[in-house]
Amino acid sequence: MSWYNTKGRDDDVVISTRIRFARNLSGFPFPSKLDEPGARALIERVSGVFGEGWTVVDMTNLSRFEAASLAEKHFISPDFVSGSLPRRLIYSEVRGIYIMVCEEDHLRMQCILPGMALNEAYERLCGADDAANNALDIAYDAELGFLTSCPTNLGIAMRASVMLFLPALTRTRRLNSLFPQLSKIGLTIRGLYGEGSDFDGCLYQLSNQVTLGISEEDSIRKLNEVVRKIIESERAARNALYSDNPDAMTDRCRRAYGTLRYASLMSSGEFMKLYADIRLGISLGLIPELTLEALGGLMTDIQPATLSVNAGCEIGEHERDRRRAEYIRETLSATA
Amino acid sequence: MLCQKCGINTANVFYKQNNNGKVTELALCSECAASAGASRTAATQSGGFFGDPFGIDLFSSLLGTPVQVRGASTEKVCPLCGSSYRELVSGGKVGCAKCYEVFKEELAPTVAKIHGRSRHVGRIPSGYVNDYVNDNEKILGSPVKTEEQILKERITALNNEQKKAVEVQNYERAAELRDEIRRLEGGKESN
Ligand SMILES: [Zn+2]
Ligand SMILES: [Zn+2]
Repeated sequence: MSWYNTKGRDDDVVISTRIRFARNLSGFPFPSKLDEPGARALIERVSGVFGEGWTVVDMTNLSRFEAASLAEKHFISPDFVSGSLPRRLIYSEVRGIYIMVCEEDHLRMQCILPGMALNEAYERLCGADDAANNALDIAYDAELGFLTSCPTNLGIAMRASVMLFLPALTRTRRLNSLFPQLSKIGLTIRGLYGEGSDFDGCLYQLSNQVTLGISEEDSIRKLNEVVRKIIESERAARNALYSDNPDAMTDRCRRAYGTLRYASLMSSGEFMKLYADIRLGISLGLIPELTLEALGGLMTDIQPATLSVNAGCEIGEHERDRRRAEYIRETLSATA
Repeated sequence: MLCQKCGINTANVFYKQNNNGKVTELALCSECAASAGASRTAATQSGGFFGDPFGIDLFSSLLGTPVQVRGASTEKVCPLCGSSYRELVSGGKVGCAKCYEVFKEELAPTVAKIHGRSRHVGRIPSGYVNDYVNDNEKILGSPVKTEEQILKERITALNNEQKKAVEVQNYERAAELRDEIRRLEGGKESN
C-alpha cells in the first residue's frame, strides 16, 4: 500500500503530504560535476547505510515508461527519470520513504503519506536522515546549513508540501486572492495537472519557500496552520457553492459520475475534470454509491506511463484512452 | 575561456567596469556582447539562479560604452571539483560542498539575494555543534570563541610573526617568539 491507495486524514481536501530533504556528502562533487566512477562510488557508499528493510532500484535497468511511472506516483522527481549518470532509488514502502541517490543532490530523501500528515512525515523522514547523518560525512556549514547543489535550498534544505484539492476555492476565484498572501509568509502554491491556467483538476501543491533562517519545525508548524485554514475555507466554499444551486451542483457531479462509468475512451485531460467533479460530489454526499476510499489509486493508475506498466508494454495514445476508460469503468462499477 | 553568458562560445570580448571603486569583469562571445549592447532586457532574462546577479547587477553596471580589455587574470579553481566561479555561473549550479568555502565571497551576493541575511537554524548533522544558541554571541554580534580556539589562533599568529622575523633576519625577535610559542603550546598540552 502506498500514499495513493490508502485513506488519509482530511482527504476530502488534502490528497497527500510530502516532505523532502536534500543532503550531500562532503567528499564528492555534486552530481552536476560527478563522473560515472564517482557516481558509482557514491551509490556504493550510500547503499551501505540503507540495508535491511530497504528496496534498491537501479534506475538504469528500468525502461523509460517504468521510470516515468515512478514519477507519476511521485516516488521520484521527473528529473530522475532519465540522466547520463548511474542513479539509484532506495525505498521502503512501509515507511513511505523514497531516497533518490544522485539526483540534483547526492541524496534527495522524501517521505510521502496520504492525506494531511505533516508531523508524521517529518518524524519518519528524520529517522532516515539520522541514519544517513550518522554513517555519512554530510556537507554542512554552521551559517549556510546543509550545503546543496542549488543555493536556493541552503539551510534546512527541506521542502514540505501538501497536495490540495480545491474545487470550490478555484471556482469561486477566491484562490487568486490567496496567492499573494501566501508568498508574503514564505509559502508557494502551484497548480498541478492544469492545462493552461484553468487548473482543471483543481489540484495544487502548497509548500514552504524559505529554507535559510527558519527551522524545520517552525516551517512545518506554519504550513500546518495555513493548511488548516485552507481546509476550513474550502469546506465552507463547497457548502456555499452547493447551497447556491443544489440542483445544478448535483447534476454536474452525477453527470461526471455517469460519464466516467460508461465512457469507452477517456483522455487524461477529460478525466482530470470529471475526477474533480466526482471527488467534490462524494464530499458533498451527492454520489452515495461511491466513497473516496473506493476511488483508491485511480488518479495515479490512469496516468500514461503507469497504464503502460500495467499493460506490460509501451502503449500509444488511442490504446491508452481505451484502457483508461476500461480501468475507470471497472473501478467504479466494482464499488456500486 | 567560455562566454559567461551563453557558456557555449569562446569568449573574445572582455568588459571591464569600474563601479564605485569595485572593478567587475565580464567575458562574452561576440554574439552575446552584441546582444548585451543592443538589448539590456534580453540579458536580464538569462535563466538560472546565478542569472540574476549577472543579468541585473553586472549588466546594469555596463550601461554606457563598454571598454574592451585584453585577457583575464588566472582563475581561482575549487580543489575538489575543479570548478571556477565562471563555471558555476554558466552551469547555474554549485560544483561541490568545498565550492561554498572556496567561492564564499563570490557566492555571498547570490545567497543574500535568495535568502536575505539569514543564518541557518534547524537540524544539524551529528559531529557538528550548534554554536549559535549562545546569548553572548547574539549580543556581541560575532561568534564567541572557545579558549582553545583563541589559543590556537594566537599560536598561528605568533608562528607567522616568527617567520617574518626570520625573513628580515631579526633573529633576536624570532627567538623571543619561539619561546613564547613553546610556552603556549606547553600550556595547551598540560591541560
Ligand atoms: Zn556567448
Ligand atoms: Zn567545488
